[in-house]
Amino acid sequence: MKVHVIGTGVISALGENSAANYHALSNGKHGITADSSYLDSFVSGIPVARVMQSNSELAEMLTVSDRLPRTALLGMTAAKEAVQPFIKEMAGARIGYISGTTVGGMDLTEGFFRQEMKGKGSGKLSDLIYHECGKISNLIAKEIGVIDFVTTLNTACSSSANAIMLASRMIKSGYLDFAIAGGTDALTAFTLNGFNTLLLLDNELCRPFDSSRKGLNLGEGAGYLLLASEKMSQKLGIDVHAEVSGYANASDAYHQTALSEDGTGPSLVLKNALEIAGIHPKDVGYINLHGTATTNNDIAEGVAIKKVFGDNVPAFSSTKAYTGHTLGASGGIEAVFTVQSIVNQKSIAALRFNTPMPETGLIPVTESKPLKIEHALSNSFGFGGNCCSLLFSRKH
Amino acid sequence: MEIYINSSFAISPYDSSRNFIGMKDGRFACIEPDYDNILDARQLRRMSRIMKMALTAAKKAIDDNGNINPDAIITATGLGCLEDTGTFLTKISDPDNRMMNPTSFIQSIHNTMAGQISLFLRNTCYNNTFTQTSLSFEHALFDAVMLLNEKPDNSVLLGGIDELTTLKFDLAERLHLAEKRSNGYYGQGEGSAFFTLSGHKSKVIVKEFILPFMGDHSDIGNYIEAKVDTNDAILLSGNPGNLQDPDDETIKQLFEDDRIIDYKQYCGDYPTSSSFAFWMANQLLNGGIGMPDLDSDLSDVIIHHSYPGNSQSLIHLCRS
Repeated sequence: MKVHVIGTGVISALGENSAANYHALSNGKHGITADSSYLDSFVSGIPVARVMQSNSELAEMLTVSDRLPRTALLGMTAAKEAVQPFIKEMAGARIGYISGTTVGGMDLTEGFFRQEMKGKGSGKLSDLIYHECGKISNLIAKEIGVIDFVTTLNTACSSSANAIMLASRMIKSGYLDFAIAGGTDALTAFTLNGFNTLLLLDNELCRPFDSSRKGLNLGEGAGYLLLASEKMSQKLGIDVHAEVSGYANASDAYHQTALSEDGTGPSLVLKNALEIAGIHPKDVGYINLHGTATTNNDIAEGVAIKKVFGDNVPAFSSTKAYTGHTLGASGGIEAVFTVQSIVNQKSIAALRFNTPMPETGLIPVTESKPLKIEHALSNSFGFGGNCCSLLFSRKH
Repeated sequence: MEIYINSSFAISPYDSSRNFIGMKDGRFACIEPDYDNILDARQLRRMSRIMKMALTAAKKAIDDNGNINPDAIITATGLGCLEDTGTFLTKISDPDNRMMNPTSFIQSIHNTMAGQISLFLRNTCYNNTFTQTSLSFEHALFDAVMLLNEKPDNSVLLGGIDELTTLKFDLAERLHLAEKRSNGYYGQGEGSAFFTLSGHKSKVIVKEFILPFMGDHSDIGNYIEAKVDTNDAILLSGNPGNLQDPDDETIKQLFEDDRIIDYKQYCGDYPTSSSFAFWMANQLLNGGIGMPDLDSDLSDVIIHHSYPGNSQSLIHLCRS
């Protein structure tokens, strides 16, 4: 059973829907324009990619309560975009909502802790009820309606790529007819401070795969694919954007927060995703990198790409230079971008690239230009050595 | 394909060898082994408590399965690494304390356990972590079974882990549980239970499991009536303490009273407590020590995990 992508939904610092995001990508316009001090006055002056809308603006667009966690509001916006055009056609089918998130309702939990610090007992207990990652998924699934199966994965920054892989396997095995798969994460003081203490944040704009890179910029957002079994998309005569032709998950088994320098995990998932699909490396037209712009990630990923593709490295770029690193949402958002690059048969330009890393000499595609893309890969790697790669193929 | 439980190990509030339950004032606490005999000192120094419990249970389950390095590591946790999450949250909320180190942030992430187990085993295989409130373990089990059906030669390490911290205990008591406790709620719990599953024959088969999306609520009752001889079966019920729950009552009516065990009186209430029930079922079917006295012709155990107002699930284990 083949798995088809029949819809997409995204919200990021680039805009509130798929079209707005793609418009910014095509025009080389990034969204890393906010200052981190709005989240935390102690980690200030660091650029972050903030979604333009406030919680109350998102809640108003959605006609829901603005007391919900931001992660849920972002997720509802993107998931609804993906599912809305087909909600009637999907009636009666088995539908899953499978989502990745790392912070869950942490923004409200932080508010509770800040209040408690002023006086024990003064925090609002209701701010804690959506702390759990799974509760965010329940909120989003309830808002969409019609959902039979809801689950959540948290494998750090590869969470939503793993969600798309799980959804694809469930459709393939015949458990589901449709799945809304991807992820959502809001910017929080928790993650901002965390990455700051790890010295992984660049205080300038990030420069993926450039020799001068110094770290990542955090972002927020949500991205979902609407997946359908081939049987369903044929039966309903739905336009297919692309096929999920391959996927792989592996552990790098090297370090809790760093990838191995020989790119063990990344090369395993690239190789295995191609193998599952029976696709030769030379037939891949584009890779959407994990490309966080940390020293360590980009070397490991670059080494892995050279290992798998040899001298025939396809066009590649990191869209984190546009959206920042949206953590648990990044796999979902970047899966949408990868599908868009296939649909439009166009590369996405790497931003702020000047000098290749001496370790690999790899040069990303720096222009948005027409490109034959039959197959495209999207990489996601997370803490704990969790690696996932998704392969999408063009539908003729 | 038949899927078997090849080995299991649990760190829980229940010491089956002494028939002792580690519970005080509504707080269940794991009875932890002496880690010095199990993990090496250098690793132990930096390891959080939940990590020690997870790694130890995983290691014991793998040792008991002939030390076979699994083809997949799948963990479930409802709330993740609460101690480190609480520590880091407290630090970032205190305007006077800006001396932070990244350790508690690094260890706060839900997949820390699965990642560290892969590191410990030098295992580069499939690695995933489910976090879907009280269905986290069921969904991890679902993934394990789907994976074994995709690759019948594989073996899977499956685990459910949640920790109870003082902070979580206090906040949950403040939120609603103190009141519930006066109405029969057993108390908050924790645990770490790991299993190896594969197609290799052993004493216990994972016969069937039913999740909400596989059918409506009545299907669980229908299934038991059609497929289980309740005279030779035990029901492990997930009711957290005689709370009113129509789903729970419907299923309990199918069993005689002496065939029903409310398993949360042994481990307390926590999101992945069905992993404790999975361990207990495996012990019962293997005639494990310290289990409630049962006749020897026990052939089936039904785990019914419901929660008032929430989704329910069924797991059916039986003797092979």
